[in-house]
Amino acid sequence: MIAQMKKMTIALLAAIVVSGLFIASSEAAVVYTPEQKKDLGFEIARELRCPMSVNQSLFDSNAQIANELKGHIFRLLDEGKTKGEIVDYLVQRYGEKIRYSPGLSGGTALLWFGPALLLLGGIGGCVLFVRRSRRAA
Amino acid sequence: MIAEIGHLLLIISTALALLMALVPLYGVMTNNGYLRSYTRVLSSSAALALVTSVLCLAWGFISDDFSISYVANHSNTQLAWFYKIAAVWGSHEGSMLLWVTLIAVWGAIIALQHYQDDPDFIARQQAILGMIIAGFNLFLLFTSNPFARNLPNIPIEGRDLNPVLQDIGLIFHPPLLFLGYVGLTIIFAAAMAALLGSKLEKHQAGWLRHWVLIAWVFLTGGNALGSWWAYNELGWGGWWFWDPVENSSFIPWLVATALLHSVIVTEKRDGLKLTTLLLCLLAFSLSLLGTFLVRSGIVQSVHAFASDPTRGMSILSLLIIFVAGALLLFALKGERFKRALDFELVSKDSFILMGVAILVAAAMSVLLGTFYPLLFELAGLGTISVGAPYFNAIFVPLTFVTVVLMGITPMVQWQKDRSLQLKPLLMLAAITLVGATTLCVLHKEPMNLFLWLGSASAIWLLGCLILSLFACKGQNRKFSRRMLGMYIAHFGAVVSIIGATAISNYEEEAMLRMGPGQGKPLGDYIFVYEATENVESTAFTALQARIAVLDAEENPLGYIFPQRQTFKSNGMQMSQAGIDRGFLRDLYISKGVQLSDTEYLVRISIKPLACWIWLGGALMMIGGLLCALPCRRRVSVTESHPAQQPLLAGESA
Repeated sequence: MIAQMKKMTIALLAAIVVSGLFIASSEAAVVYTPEQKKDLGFEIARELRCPMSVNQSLFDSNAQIANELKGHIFRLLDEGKTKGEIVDYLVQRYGEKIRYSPGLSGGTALLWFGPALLLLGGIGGCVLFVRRSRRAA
Repeated sequence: MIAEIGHLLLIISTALALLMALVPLYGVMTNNGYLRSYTRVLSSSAALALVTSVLCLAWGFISDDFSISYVANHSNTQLAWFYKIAAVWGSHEGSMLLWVTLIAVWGAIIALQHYQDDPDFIARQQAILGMIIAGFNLFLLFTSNPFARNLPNIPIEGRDLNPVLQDIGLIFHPPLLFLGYVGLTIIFAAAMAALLGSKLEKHQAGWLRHWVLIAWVFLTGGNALGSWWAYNELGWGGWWFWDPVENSSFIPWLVATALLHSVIVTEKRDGLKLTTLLLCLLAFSLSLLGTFLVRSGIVQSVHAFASDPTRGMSILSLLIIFVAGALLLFALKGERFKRALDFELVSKDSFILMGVAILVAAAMSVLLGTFYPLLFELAGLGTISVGAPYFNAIFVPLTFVTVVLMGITPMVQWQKDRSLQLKPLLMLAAITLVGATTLCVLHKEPMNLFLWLGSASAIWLLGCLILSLFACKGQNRKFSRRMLGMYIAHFGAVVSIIGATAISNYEEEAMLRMGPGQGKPLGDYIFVYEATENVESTAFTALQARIAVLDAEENPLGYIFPQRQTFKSNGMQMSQAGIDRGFLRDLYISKGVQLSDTEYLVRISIKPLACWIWLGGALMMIGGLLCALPCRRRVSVTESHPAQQPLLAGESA
């Protein structure tokens, strides 16, 4: 059982790392089908913040600028830009704040690794605590 | 006149609460039974005063007494009577008054019900509640008095209740959430009483468990209803947007869920007392922190609610006083609750402890994400946003880990488990792996890790529930009501996870220009924009689209009416989505800005299994209630409880 749990922990770690890579990776395709373009455009619009509204994604916002930016995203997709390129372009123009999922940097390391540390610390702490107290008993 | 009575009663209740904070505690400390016996009188009269005070405020709304600023600012003569009543908690002052009143009422019920059984414990708990009520009341009286008058310039007509709030959601969602927070307050007071008394006995743990369950049921309801409301209102980010205001009620829910499980160990096995007590303090602190976050306006939220920085400071000071006091007491007395661990690593106790750790880690992660932009800015690093994509990226894997443990734990025995069958679990793991991978391969984006994690969670948890039911049957174990409650609540989690995974990964949508006569096929349906209509209601005028829904063979299925509403009172515009609800899918249409004389920007979505998200919430509530209902056998304090069987020394090595 313990061995199994260890395996689970490793699998979990792997899952977290893979998920991180997955999110970081950007699509390499350049020519999109209309369906792909729509999905990708909506996906990008959902991950960006409307510069005018209080706390709304571009997708949800009805502000003038949000509609313009949505149009812009689709134009960039027409040009064959990848998701990463489009997001970078908009971040350059509107600042880091436009992105709901901040890029990894020195300042955001805690944000990105904090949850994994909390999780591992929590589980690891419990296991150590129980084993140590059992040994002491 | 009525308002003055309400105001006076608020002051009187403050005085009563202060007495409630001092007299019973002094009585207990000096072993003076006479003083202690005032507990019930004080708490019930404080509750009575506060209830009457709320009724006075409600009367102000019903009778359109615009000399009361709070009424004038949040109601008018045109408002329907039920919204007038709901407007009592529609903004800051009234909602705080309702909150503190609910604390007093719940506290008084407990005092009347249980004082006889354990006077010292209840007296201490009521004293702590007295301090909290007094603190809240002073805050109300000095910074946000709901009875403040508009004299001498009494307006003829009031302003309006924020049009966004004129919804069935306002009538139920805030009171449910407040009841949840009130439950956390009651639990906090109980934990403090236990700390003050340096002991947490079995019957006290039983009460604690009961209150935790009720608080959790209310919190679940509050969160689920909030999510449902946001889903119906366009521009609120859908069913869950990880907005700071949403997070501030979700974090206490996560901690309450952890507490709910650790208190079971405390009650059943007399273990994890320190964990339980600490979680009680944590849950209450986080509910206050959430309140501070929501009402101070320090974070930007689409649900911004009565924000005012000056009030924020007062809430923050209350928070600091309570938390500092509680932590100090915990540090001083915590040692006395320590006892040797009597369970092994593979046991239900230990798995629950790990589950608690994961849930708290999840709560802290959400807290971290919510406060990060603020801290980032304070540190002078610039401005960033932390939103849905980030939270999904951390929370979906966390949910998966939780679910893995959540599935196994019901099958593991207390104390030590040497008979856990690994074979069926491994088989189930294989099924989960294959099932989730197949779903991913069939999906249009095969590398979709969220879909994998979500579907694996659902399959694993459902499979585990079935396995453990069979195991129960095989062992001929008695199936108690509490176990039934657990199964229903865990099944509710499965249903919610399925709903959330489906809506996040299988939604079909289109955004297009549409005007009368135009149609659009999407999925298995065809949507035809038939006409734009004008609609009048008491509160707003609306441009409404009549959109016919046809199936693939062009048989008519019905109509959907999305609206763009303009409120008469303040000209504010809102989009109300048109939804055709179904068990397997919701058809969701919203009408946005006007693009030409006849055309509008229209968003059409087919949201699969949308209602499962809230259905799961309802199942969790039912399960929680089944567990919370008192046992037929009354808890007797004098009854002796056999000590738990100690593990043999030889076995523990």
